[in-house]
Amino acid sequence: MIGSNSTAALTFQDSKSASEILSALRARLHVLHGCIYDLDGKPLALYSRYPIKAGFSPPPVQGEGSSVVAGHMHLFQNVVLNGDAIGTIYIEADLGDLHAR
Amino acid sequence: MRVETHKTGRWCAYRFAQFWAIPLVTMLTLAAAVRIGTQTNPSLEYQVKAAFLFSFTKFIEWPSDAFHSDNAPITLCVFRHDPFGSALDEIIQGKTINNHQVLARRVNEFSDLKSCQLVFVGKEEDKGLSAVLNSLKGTSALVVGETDGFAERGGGVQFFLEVSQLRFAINVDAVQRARLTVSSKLLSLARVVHDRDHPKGR
Repeated sequence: MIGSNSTAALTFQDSKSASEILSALRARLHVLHGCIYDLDGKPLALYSRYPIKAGFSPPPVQGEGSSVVAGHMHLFQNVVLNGDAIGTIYIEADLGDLHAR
Repeated sequence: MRVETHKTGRWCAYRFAQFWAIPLVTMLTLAAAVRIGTQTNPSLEYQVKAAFLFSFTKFIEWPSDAFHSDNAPITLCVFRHDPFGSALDEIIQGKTINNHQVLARRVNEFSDLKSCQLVFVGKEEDKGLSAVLNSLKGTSALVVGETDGFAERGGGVQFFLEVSQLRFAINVDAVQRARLTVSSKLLSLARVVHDRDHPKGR
């Protein structure tokens, strides 16, 4: 849903709107970080659940897919508009609590 | 608007682009700039505005009676003075939106505006806005401009610069009159404006 909501923000390179869209991730308790990248792989907006002194450094953009490393899931998803890829969403989520049950 | 590419011009543009890794649109625009006899290279501002004009069509729906057939083109018109050089032509090249081919035209006569789905009225032609709106009464054309107060005066969309970001205002009364459906995603990026003499207007 973040992807489809961000099509306009990406199309018009509106980083403020893109940030607002990412802030909806706050409702997903296990999401630690988020990033919207434009077509050049440049971050348009960032999100972090907890404040980080140095700021969150997003990983270099990758193709679609997910991986799990040390209990964290890293997910990349293409944003598509009219059949064209226009950017990428990245989400990092903590799976720890889910495993502990 | 197309002119033959001069061989040296193409070489110059290629080397230049190689150095700076400029995105495709800018590369093509530079190639256009060294062609003999064409308009001067449109500034970055107009390259971005051209891209935005095309992008608007992805977030707007025209009523079916705005087209004379199901696969009629979406025509983006520039009223008289054209600041885009070849930028607009290059951006829309080969593109379709919802099965409508996207075309660009330059229009000089008011009577020719009726065939347009979008009309750009640049700052050089701003004094003609009332006449343009009059000619387009009852149609579903989106009128886009770039001068202060353009939206409040009845234009549908107005470009403005905020710090270094190109943004736009949308006059929701004008858009409603034109029976256009504007995606909420586009509206959420815009500064929403009303007609000057609308109760909610300033």
